[in-house]
Amino acid sequence: MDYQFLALTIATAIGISTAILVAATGELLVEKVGVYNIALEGVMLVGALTGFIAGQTTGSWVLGLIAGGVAGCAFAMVFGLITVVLRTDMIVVGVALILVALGTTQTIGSSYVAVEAVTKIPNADIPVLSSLPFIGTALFQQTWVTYIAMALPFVVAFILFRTRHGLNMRAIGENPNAADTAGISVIGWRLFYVAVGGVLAGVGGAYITLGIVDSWAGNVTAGQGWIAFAIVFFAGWQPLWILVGAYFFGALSVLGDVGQVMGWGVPSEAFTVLPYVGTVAVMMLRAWKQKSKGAVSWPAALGLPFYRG
Amino acid sequence: MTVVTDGAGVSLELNGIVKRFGDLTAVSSFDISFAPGQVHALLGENGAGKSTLMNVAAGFLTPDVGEIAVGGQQVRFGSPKDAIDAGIGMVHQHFSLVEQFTVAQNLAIGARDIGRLTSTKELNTRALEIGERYGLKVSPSKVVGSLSVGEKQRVEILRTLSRGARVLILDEPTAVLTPEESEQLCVNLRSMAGAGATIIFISHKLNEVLSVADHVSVMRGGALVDSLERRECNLQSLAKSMFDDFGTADERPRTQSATSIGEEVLVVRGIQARDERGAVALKGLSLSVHAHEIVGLVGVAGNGQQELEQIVAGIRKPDSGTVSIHGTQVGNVQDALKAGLGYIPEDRRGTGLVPAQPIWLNSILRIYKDDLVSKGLIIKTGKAKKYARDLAESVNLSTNDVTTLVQHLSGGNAQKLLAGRELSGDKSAVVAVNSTQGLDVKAAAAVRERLIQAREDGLAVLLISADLDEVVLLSDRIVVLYEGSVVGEFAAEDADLDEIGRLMGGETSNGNS
Repeated sequence: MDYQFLALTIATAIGISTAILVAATGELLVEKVGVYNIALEGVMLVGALTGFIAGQTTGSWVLGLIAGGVAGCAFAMVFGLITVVLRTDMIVVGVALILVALGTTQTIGSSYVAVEAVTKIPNADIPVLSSLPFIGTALFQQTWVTYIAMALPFVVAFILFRTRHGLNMRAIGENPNAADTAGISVIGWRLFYVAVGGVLAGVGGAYITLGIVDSWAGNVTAGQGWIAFAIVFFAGWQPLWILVGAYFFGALSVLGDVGQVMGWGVPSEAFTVLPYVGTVAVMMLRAWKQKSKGAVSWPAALGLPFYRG
Repeated sequence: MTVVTDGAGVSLELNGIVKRFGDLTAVSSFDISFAPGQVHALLGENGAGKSTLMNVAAGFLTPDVGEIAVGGQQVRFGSPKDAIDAGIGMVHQHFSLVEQFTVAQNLAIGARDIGRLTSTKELNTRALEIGERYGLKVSPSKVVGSLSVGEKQRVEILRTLSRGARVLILDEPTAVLTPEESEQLCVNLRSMAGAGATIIFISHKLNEVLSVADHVSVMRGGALVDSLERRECNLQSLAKSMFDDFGTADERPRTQSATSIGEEVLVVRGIQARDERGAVALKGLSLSVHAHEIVGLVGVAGNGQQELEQIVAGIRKPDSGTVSIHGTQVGNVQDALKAGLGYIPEDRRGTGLVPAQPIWLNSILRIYKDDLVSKGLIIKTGKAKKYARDLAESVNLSTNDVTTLVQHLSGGNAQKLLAGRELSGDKSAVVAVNSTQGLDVKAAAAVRERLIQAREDGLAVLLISADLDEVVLLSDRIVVLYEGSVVGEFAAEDADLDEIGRLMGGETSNGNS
């Protein structure tokens, strides 16, 4: 394998991880306040289709991403209202909403199938850095969205661990009663972050149709929402580990292509299943490690509806 | 002790508050007021309505009828935040602290007087200042989960005061403390009141109330039955107000066993075990309980009681060590049942009973394989119901309709059912954990009666309880547990409460820690 090929492979892995990275970072915020939006896959699908249609209609990928974010936000708020405000079971509601998203996007999007995107997110080479040998090709010839996505976990880490706002967020996820008695609106904050998570998942979805596959097809997300959901667990609710997790799964996804080019003689289907097998393997490793270490890292109130008192 | 500078109290008046839960009227319309500079004790047995009334005052519950006035001003609370804004804060038995945060971080939750960007140093300095201002010592950088209950309570009190509470309500604050921690708390409360704060102290312990309060109000059945200055009351008068049928239950002399103690029945040898987080919970613990004997195991919660209880009951595996009953080793629930072990867990509605199922199904939960109530895979419903009716009758359950769901039984009736079930049949030993917790006086007496009966019947009774008075009342022998080891053992007649208290707190028997 020559250097150039390896650099391009890394670049591809980073590029296609963008959607997962953005969605997972959003989900981390949601889970830090004690809610898991298990409908992530559905939110990404809604964002993917809305973003694509907006891109086709306006010819602007920026508007496409914005539309994806808005749609994702709206869809996530349905989940938020049902689970956070009405306190219904998150798993049942989440799975139902995924099926709703799958069905509706397939129906609405049927006329867009196999249509080439009129606008796609362009690569933005970073001056000087992008002309560095190897590293330039691997890291600095990405889209703006990818650069921002890379920075996102650092921003989130700063907010969570260095600000008053983040302290309060974590308090809500660990013990909502402690936050409530301190005058923090648990329901309000949870809804807000479900919305923020929705925006990010929607943008992530739109990035798939506008920046990666450049077209729409039914179920175009193909489980990326689920992987993003799993990465939050994999990362042990630590923002910077989200970065590691997303790129790890990105790398697994490009292995199939690499194998074909290199003539490894392994069917590419075997590689498409790798990210999913990888997820399971990492989760088992994590559970095992947790058992031996005896440390609990998830927000203590994760998944528990809030009742005062 | 530093003097409280901005904790000067305001008066709190509750006028005609009514609070109903379904058919139950928890608080029924009376006027009560709390003056600044005083420790005002609200006394009553469990279910008297004390906590409900104070939850209304602190904004956790909205009253059906009635008015609240703070410093003469009418107020209306929609949430605890409204109450704290008006200067009323409440410290519950279950603390609202984030276990994973440090003390300083806990004190900073929701605070407005810190920068948008937080630094550990700033938060720690602030925590120290708050501690000094209210005269309570804390270690800012310690993680709350690693603190003792008494320390956690100090953090919770500081958290409430630092938000501007001038009326501080404490719901049974000493229930979770060691005797020494309780004394320290009372000293702190007296000093806060001395500095002008309004302290409301909910309790059902007469002695404690008499030692700390300036003013005592007694509630019974949701009504205010007495409100007196400290100098106007004594143990007898308060007890009379508290229980309308005083004398039949709580303050009886210790019951001595009619029969002498028999052979060893329940034997625990060298048990080592870990808790859920992998920390060592039991360090080679051994103890034995004889026939016709009640052994009371006391200790501050979290010193290994839960692990021991579950190992004896066969639902948890020790790392090493054995449990045997009449010489037969017990390793799981089936063994334990066969060996004749009854188990009355603390969590009566979760571990002990199935709340959403009727009385009759709950009654046969441990004997469903017995030919008495089943044939192969089929439960003989008629026989099972008959069995349940007999059981209900033998324990004086409030209802004899065995199709009633257990969730509709009161705490006392649920416990009577559970104790009855676990003590019926051919039993040789029983483990009972905090069996009278949360019960009213009559139900508690009935459950105690049942345990004494078990002793008379020749059972070996292991009583694990947080209620020291109860242990002293019932036990023939008292064993003190601290950090997974037995640190003291007393025959009931030699039991010295001060000594036991010190051992529970981790001091060695000669008084040095």
